[in-house]
Amino acid sequence: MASMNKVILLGNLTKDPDMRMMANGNPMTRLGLAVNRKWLDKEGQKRDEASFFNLVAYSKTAEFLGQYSRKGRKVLVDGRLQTRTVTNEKGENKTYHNIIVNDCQFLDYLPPEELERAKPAEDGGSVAGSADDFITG
Amino acid sequence: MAANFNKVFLMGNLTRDPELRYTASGSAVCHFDMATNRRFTGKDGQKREDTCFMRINVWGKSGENCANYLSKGRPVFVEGRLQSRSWQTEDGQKRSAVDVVADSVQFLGSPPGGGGGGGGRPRDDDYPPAEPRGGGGDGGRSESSGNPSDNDGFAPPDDDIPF
Repeated sequence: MASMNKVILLGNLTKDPDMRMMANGNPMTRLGLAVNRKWLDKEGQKRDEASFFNLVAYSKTAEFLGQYSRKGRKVLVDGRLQTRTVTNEKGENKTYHNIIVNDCQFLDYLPPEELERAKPAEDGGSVAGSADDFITG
Repeated sequence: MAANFNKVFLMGNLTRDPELRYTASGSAVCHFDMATNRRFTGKDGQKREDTCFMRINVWGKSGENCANYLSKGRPVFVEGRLQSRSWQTEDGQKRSAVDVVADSVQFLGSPPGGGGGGGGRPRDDDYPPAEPRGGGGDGGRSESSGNPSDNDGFAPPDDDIPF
């Protein structure tokens, strides 16, 4: 059956990458992305609004993003939407929306020494509370 | 601040009938949910299916058209942007969700009940939208009825998309 699920986003990373190994030995990297939108409202006033998304990358893309992503970097992402619904202990359904990254491109230049300086902490402690923000699978 | 870009393309089937509302200022907004299936072969060689459920918002005239012509099970192609929302529940928990705000919605397949000919005209009889489709006994289309399977009681028809 024909089907299509494509997302293209250009925005800024909201946190440093959270890269970890999955049980099958492949890497997985999780990121946050903010995408701004600006428009003029009916009164001609300038308005803006940001949307926040969870990104998930696997294998090579995960390695690449784990190495070069830094909070604040501008990135163009091509991916697909994924939803996961889980039922918590209270019996409530909670739906998680992720964007699975197929391809990405950094749009800013970060000199190597700058990249080194901005390196996230080795213990992975740079990503606050991320474990609850993502459900993947 | 440099440019931002936000575009999403989804093809799939409605999982429930659309809902039309009007804002206080009189703008129409239509909400519906759609399911997009992705088929892939797992590492073990097994064919699998992953379904993505998204909520779609359509504003204005296009939203009214969606409410008038679409119903559960119908295939659509949606082009729009992704929008995140966050809110607090009554017990103070933070929740967030991602919706699609559609710029355009194209109706795929042929109108229900008809013989598949052309144009997107509504059916003459004004049925309540919650009723199951595929009636009329004309051996015609039975898009969502009688096939309650895994996903939300709805399995998309294999032969309905005309390409």
